[in-house]
Amino acid sequence: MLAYHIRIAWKSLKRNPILSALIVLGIALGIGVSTTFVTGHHIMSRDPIPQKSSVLYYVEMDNWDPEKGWSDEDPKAAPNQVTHRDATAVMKSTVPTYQSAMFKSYLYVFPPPKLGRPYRGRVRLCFADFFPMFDVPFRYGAGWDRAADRTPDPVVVLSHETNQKLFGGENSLGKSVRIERRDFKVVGVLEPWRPAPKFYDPHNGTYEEPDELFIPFNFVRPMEIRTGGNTSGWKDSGKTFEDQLQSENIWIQMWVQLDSERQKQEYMQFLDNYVRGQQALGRMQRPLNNKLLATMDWLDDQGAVPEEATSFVVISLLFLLVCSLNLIGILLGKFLARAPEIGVRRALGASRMAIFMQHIVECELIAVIGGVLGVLLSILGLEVLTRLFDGMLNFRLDWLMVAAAIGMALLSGLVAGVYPAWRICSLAPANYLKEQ
Amino acid sequence: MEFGPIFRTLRRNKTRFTLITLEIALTLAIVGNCVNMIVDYRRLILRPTGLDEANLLSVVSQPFSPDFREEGYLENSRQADLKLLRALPGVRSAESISSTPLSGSGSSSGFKPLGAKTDTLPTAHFGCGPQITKALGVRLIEGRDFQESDVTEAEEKNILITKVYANALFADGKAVGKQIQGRTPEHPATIVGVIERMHGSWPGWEHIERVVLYPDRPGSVNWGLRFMVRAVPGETARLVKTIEEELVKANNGRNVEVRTLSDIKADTYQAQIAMIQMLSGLTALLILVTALGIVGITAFSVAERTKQIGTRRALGARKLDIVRYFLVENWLISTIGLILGTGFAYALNYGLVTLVEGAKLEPRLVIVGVVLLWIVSLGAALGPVLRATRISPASATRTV
Repeated sequence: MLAYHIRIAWKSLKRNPILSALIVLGIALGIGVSTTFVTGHHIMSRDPIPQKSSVLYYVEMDNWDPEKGWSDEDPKAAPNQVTHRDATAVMKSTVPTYQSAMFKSYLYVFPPPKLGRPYRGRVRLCFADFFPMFDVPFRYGAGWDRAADRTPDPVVVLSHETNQKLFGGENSLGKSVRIERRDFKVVGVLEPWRPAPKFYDPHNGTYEEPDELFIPFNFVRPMEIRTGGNTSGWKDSGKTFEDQLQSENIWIQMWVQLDSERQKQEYMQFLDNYVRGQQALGRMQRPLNNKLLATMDWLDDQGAVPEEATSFVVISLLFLLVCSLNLIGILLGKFLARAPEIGVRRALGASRMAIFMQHIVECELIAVIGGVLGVLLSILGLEVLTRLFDGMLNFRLDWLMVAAAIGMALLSGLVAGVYPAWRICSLAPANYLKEQ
Repeated sequence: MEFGPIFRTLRRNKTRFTLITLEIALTLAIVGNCVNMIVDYRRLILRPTGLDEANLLSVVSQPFSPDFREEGYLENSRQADLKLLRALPGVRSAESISSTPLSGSGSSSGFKPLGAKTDTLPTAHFGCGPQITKALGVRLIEGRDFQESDVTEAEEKNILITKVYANALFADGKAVGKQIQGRTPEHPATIVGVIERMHGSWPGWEHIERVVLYPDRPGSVNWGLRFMVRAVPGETARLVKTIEEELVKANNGRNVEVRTLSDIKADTYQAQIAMIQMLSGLTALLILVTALGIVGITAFSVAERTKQIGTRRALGARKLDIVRYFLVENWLISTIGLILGTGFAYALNYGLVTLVEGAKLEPRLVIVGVVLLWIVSLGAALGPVLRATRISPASATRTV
């Protein structure tokens, strides 16, 4: 029976190809536009590290001005980065499974002269745990070990792109890269890796390009490396580099992996003890306000999903609604125009149910064609989005979104079809037979 | 006018006309809000910055040669660069600055009147050479400009501030000659002049118009030297390449990046620009969809009433009467839809404003939307209606 309905529906669509094209195009536009923006929102708000986001925590400690809190709006908020002295102090904890203080900087990288001029590379200074903690994928080699953190050893991990640029993509393990005035040995090369949003450092460029080189954190002091991200301060930070490191300026991100509730409590205890110790020394005079923010809470906190993305979703769904209304109107006209034909069929014994089903199938056929076309349109739409945002985000459809698009199409086909189909099947056949 | 018959027709085809009314209403709601957002973003991007935007270039010299670490080398390089830049044909003025306005990165701090018990007021601040007002094209409206002698090693600086910041600091807005301090009263700064308007570094910041300029010799080995160059109108594009070549030729131990301020601004406002483009696209598509809907519905109305039209024509109605009948019907429907839509537009705006702190809907934009949709609706109906005039009076008799 279904095959028969589909055949009839197809014939009906072919009878008036221009009108059918308009109907299908209308629904395709609705699906295309809404899928584009729903996917955009989905990509901006998705968990960047789903397998671990619940055990990774961002650490905040309140070292701010005793007279004036970090945020005017939220008295409970703690500063969104930590000082160098606190970061290095809490790195001594033995509680977390993994832990790393980190920040980004821009340092001169010197390629072999024939490959081009020196350039400023985006360098992340971090600890050995950074790589296993964030499941960073390696193509060659691996991160450095914890011993290299202490010395620190001149070792470097290259991003895929940097390895392409400096070594033409070959296995460069053991080769040397000159950064500023030191030579670093390559111990690892990453696979292409671009977490978006850049969850581990969102307030220094949520959607900026990935880090290009990674070196041990403890080069901060010997190389006098300053942050390339935001620094906030409330107290005079002195003149010399060492003064800066000891100051109350915050510019470092601190991440830990805590696998169990017990471990989390233990670490919280550790932080509280540390801050109490500092308070006894006269620092951190604000009330105890240490925070461990799970990854997604942290991203929410940082507003990684722009509010505008939500309004675009609302608007695009309303757009789909307009397309559906449009569809109802046109289908109603189209169906009613064939009332005489239906009258004959009813008189010949077709049941109301059969007529109803036949029209619903026709609507769903339109919806499926429109939905598939809509998915194709949304691929185009997402390409436009990616261009508009200059590649900050890679907007791609995934299967979930394709399924959602087809689902939306079927639903709007059904919603749009029920009323016209009901109208046509409930017409009394006699009226139309008389006129013939 | 045939209002009577039209109303009775509408009543008999309630569903279809309700649908089209709703569609028009929703379209107005969405178009009104999209256009409202577009206007809001455009206002943000186009608001005056106080700078001679079109003719400004940002020049960054980023040293890598170890020579720059030698005592005095960086400062010598800065002076040599300034001399070179100012001598280039097409350059009107050039000066050092600590960071580029409108670029999204810079420094901020807080000041208050010396001795005041209040909180400090946050502002962007730039360290710059003495000719900075000329190089930025900002207008001094009170007091005096910087002089060479203002650039000193002393902790107490003579500074320039914007009018907006002056008004925030001092109730009477009179700032020239007054002193301001940071958190502590040591090393107060003296305000020597007030600038009419200047945008700082972060366009998203509510205090974008608060700026402090203090005399300095800005630059460091780590972050390099930065200059603002003001070109003779029309020379900006050409200078981008020339400046880079000339500066690298003068000292090869560094990279030089030259960008127009318009470019930098476009980057900073990239999200807003992208949103304007998306909203425009959405609006155009939506109007297209609605127009197609109206074409379809009107075509059906006409087809359904072939016999009536024929009858009317046979009874003496002119083609014009038929056109008028359908256009008046269309106009009535769209007007009801637009009245309803005005309500929808405000409801949607209320929702969006609550959701995302967007801009309030401007009544004038609703009016623009109404007029636009009236025209679109009539235009869309015109095709099928003209086809209705081709129905011959004879057709009325044929099928009976």
